[in-house]
Amino acid sequence: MESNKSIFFENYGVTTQDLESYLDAALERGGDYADIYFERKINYSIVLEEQIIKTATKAVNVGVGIRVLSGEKTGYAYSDDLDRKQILKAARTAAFIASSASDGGRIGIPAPTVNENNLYSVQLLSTDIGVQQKIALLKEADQAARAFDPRISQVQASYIDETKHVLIVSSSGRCVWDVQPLVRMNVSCIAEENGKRQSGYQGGGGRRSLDIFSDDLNPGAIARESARQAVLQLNAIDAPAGPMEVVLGNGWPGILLHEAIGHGLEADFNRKQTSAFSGLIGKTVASELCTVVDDGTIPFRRGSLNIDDEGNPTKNTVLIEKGVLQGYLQDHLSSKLMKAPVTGNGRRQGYDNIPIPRMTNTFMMAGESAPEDIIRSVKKGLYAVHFGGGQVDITSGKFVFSASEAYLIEDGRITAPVKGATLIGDGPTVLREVTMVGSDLKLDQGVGICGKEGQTVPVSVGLPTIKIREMTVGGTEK
Amino acid sequence: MTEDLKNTADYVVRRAKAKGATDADTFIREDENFEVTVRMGEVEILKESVSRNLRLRIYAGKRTATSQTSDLSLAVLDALVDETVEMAQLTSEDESGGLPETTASASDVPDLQLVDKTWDDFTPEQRIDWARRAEAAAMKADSRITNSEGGSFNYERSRTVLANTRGFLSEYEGTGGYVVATPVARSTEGMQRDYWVSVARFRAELESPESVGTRAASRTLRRLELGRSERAKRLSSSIH
Repeated sequence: MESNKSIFFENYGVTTQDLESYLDAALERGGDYADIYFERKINYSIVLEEQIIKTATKAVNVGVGIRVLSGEKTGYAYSDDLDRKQILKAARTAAFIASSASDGGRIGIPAPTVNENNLYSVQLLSTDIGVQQKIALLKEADQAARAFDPRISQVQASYIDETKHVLIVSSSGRCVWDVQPLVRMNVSCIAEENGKRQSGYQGGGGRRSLDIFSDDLNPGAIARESARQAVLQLNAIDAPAGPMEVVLGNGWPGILLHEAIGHGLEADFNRKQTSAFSGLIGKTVASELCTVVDDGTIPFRRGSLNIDDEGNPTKNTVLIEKGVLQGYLQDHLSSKLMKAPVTGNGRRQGYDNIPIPRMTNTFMMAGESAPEDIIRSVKKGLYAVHFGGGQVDITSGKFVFSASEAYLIEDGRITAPVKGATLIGDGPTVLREVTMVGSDLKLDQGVGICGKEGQTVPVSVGLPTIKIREMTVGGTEK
Repeated sequence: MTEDLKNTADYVVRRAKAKGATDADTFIREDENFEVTVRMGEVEILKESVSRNLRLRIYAGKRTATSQTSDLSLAVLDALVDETVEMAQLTSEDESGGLPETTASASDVPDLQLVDKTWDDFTPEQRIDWARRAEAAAMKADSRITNSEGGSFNYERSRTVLANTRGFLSEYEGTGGYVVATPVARSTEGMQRDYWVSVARFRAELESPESVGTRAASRTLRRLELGRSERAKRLSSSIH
């Protein structure tokens, strides 16, 4: 199945000579650096709604993006036509950013290479599997959700997959390619009782093929979890409001870490001094129980990559070690300007976008507390185990998240489910309040979509159970 | 170029029908885009592109499948039409599926005057200057504005072609641009940022870069003030 050559050479007739001419054109006005990103992405998506397969969609996106750097300046042009003339035109357009008499200079293009330790080797790519098998997964999910409880009145299940081929060539002598598979399934349910309506949501996936939807991530399990959340919310009481102890469950609540801390540690914001974390390297930004990493090298994970979208190998980067800020997530441009090592975090949505520093799989390392002990230690507080979403203002550091599944903790015991709780806080200070870290680190099931500057990329998040001494809860109690 | 796109649209729906679709429609869009960001007075990003995208919707009776491609080469289009027709057989019957019973004829399409030709006289240098001026106006609005995520100017011209198997084949064009500024203000209590953007199809309707920058600055400063009054309130309630 796996070829030893990129499709851009095999199917699109790209030659080393072509690549050299594109780089030469890109640097003809004296840019410091140029790179070319070839991409072909194929997606299938299928939606089940009202018990029928509403639609099936195939998408094909092919294009090439050319970037020229000159100091802090970026020139960018792209073409969705791989015709030589069009690519050369794009290269010359991108070249305009620089204005020096001399040629920027480049190193010769080496033989194309692919990562030997493929993090997501698959036997049969999902995009080569027939639509019927994918439809069967959705029907299985629909039946499982409806069978879970008669109060489930609506089920929407969706399947989406992707195979992305990339080839990245740079003037610094890089020529690498990769094939990146990705699959995901989502199930959202609505439960109805006595005129009340509540919803639940669960999904899962990763950089694998359809075989990921067996075992723990089978469609039935995803659907039942979604249905369970919806039914649970029917009897949820109003959320309390005000500052209180908050326990975050393991896994997906790591979204809070991603939003409140992770984005603020992306190098571009820090280079420009617009992040609430700017200038804090070496400073204590969290309690000493907290060690936070971004690790793009975990096999089959949604946020993992063999190489980032600038061709650099991904890494396991320690962002915060025992409470002390260690460094930022770097892409090529920021690492050059900040004189820091690249961390393999230069990512882009596609050929039509400029790479910027982005997260991969971001999580807090496990601690030593038993999760039961963490709950037991809380007299009155909130236990948040599932989040709908959230947002952060990088500059002020302020964030807000809405918990889609949360409970009261009373005298060390989890009691009533609550609805509509939001968590409000400040990125650079929230982790200082962490007083217990559980031994139960878990990564999410593979559903994260991260947006920044209009570009979305797949990511993963993770967290052990943690206790935050005080956090503001936006409640629904009147 | 637009004749090409119309031919492509017509070809695609005809092929869909020939391959067994009951009905089909397609939507092709061609975008020409120019984007510049100036940060701290210097050009930071200059981006230009022309791109195309085709969307296709196939009906097999009451069943639907859709597809989309940025690759408009004949071989890719042929394969995509055929595969989409096949996919449509596999989805479920949906009572609400299908093209409208009667579709407008191309001659009914009014000219909504969405194109402003004066953008063509707006040189790249002027466009860059607008981004620069928007940021500069924000930066000088108040001494507390000490940093910036930049000022940007964006111009887009798009052509859209629509065709279906009931004989509709038409197109329209549109232009648009925007100016935005995102200043960052600092006080002893921290940083805040906000933005203001002016968007218009017609160049004459775009706010001046000075107005955009000034409004962005006042919005950012308002956040700084808001933070202060909230803290003042908290402080007073803890005293009582």
